[in-house]
Amino acid sequence: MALLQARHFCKDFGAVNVIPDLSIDIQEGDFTVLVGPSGCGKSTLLRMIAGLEDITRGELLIDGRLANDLHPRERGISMVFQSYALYPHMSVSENIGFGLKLEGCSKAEIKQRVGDVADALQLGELLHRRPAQLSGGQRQRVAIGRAIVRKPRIILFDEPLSNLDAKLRVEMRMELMKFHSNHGITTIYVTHDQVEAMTMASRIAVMEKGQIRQFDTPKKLFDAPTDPFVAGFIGSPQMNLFEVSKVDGKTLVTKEGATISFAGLSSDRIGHAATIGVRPEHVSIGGKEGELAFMARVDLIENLGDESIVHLVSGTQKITARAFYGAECRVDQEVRLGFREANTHMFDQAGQRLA
Amino acid sequence: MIAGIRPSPARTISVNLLLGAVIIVWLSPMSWLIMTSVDPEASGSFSVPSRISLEHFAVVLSGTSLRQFINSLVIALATAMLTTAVACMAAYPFSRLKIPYKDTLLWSLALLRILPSTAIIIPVFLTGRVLGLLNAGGVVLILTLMNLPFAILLLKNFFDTIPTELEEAAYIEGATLTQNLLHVVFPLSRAGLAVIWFMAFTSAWNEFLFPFVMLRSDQEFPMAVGLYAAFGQYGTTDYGFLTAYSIIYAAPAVLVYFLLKRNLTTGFAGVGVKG
Repeated sequence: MALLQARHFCKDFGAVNVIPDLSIDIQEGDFTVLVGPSGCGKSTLLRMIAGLEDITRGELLIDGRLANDLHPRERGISMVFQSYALYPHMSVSENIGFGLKLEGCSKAEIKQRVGDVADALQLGELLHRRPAQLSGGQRQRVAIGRAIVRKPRIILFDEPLSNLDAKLRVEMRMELMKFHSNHGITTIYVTHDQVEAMTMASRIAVMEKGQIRQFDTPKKLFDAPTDPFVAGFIGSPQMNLFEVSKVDGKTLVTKEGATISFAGLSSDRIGHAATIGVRPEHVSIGGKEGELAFMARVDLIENLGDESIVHLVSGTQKITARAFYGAECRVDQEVRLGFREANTHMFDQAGQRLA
Repeated sequence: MIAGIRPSPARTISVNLLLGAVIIVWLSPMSWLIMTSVDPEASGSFSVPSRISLEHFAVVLSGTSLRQFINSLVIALATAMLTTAVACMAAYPFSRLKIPYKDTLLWSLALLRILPSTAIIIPVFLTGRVLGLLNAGGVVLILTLMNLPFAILLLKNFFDTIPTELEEAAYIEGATLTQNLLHVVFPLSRAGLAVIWFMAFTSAWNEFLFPFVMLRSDQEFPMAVGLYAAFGQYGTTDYGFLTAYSIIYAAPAVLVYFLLKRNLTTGFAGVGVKG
């Protein structure tokens, strides 16, 4: 049985519905990432799990026990906030031991447990400092220390890396991954950064408009997105999505005016798709026999050293291609593009992935 | 030109003379006050005492005037405590809850405070008489009421600067609302609370009108009224007594100012919580 189950969650803020009907099961020991664009409801979902927001409708089960009306402490949950929310008037040891003090633990026990956590997180030297005297990375470690000292079943992270600079973010990401593999505490992590999601998660829930569009492993999300939103959201640069407006024999025309020929293909399965997606690394400039093919004009080339991102236009359809070791084309050149059917992601009218 | 940067001797002298004049103007009343208070034969004239004595202070710190000093302390401390406590309880919900027309309500209260005290003295007196509050308790109540609007407004703005995430973090760790207030919100608001406390204390300490109207006898008066009543008492003006009385009257407010100075400096700027 899943450690945490959200069943038919619904959240209203006054007359505004933020989460219409959402269900998710979190397995023990998993590192689950909630990812999605701003305003998709991921932080609201996290806060509902934490007990910081009421659940308008639906059930939250932790270990099979209804937890809707339980105080966060009784849920066995800890949380690390975006700003870390360390108490500025308390020292590091007081910050870490605050929850234990509230629980009524003895001074000796608090000292013992704070010391253990400080050793595990290499905070021993900093115990007497105030948060203002700590670096960003040290603050994060204190926030994690505060979260684990009460030995929670589940730790929630609300975009903890978004305030850090790029270099520190990478370092902290690695620290968090190590922390999870060492302690194995069930983790739910909210981010809008898909790189964080892909690198850290054992499973990712991609959210849009208060709904989970797909909940799967990072590899499955990348290789087999179940709908065009997930296909477009996961991957950078994002997947090219062609919305088909007309199919004429072995040619299809997209809503943005690109004309794609699939004359070289033996099957005509592609003629039944409403949306066709292909990742930039699978679009080849020049194209080969047996591929879907179309003409486009080079609009812009971004040279990144070991690869080039080529932006092209066909009609008003924008296409991105990724060429490793330099692109053999120039701006304003008309080029032939091709991609293999095996590399396409096809979706029907209802947005469902075609097998 | 370098010569232009260095002031001429004439200019230096004239600036010093001007500053000297300002110092004399500023310090004359103060030096008169101090010299008269320690002069056992004080006559009210500006003169250096031939002999220094603290006998006027000893007189002030005994009998009715000591009683009035204690009355002032009781009224000012009670007003400061009550104002701070009630302002905390009112300002916190104003800061954290969505109350319709919250700002309008707060500013309307502040507007009431702008009314001159003299304009409301008659209804206050009549209400006090009906409720049996023509005593020190009544004075504390009315002074608290007069202080509350600005105290709530100031404290509400102060609470607004404390990130709610800190309270949420404490809540997740198991803190009740009271524990959250005692361990997180109030310690972080120490500077703001000091400002409120100091404002209420000094305004109550300095208040003349309400105690004058609401209290009946010498034994009930605070020092502000006592000083007024002491003028021309027994037919003569005892300048030595009055100046010693004035210095003792001024001392606690100044003392409180220096005790709270550090908090007062940051108190108006908000909590300034970082990360």
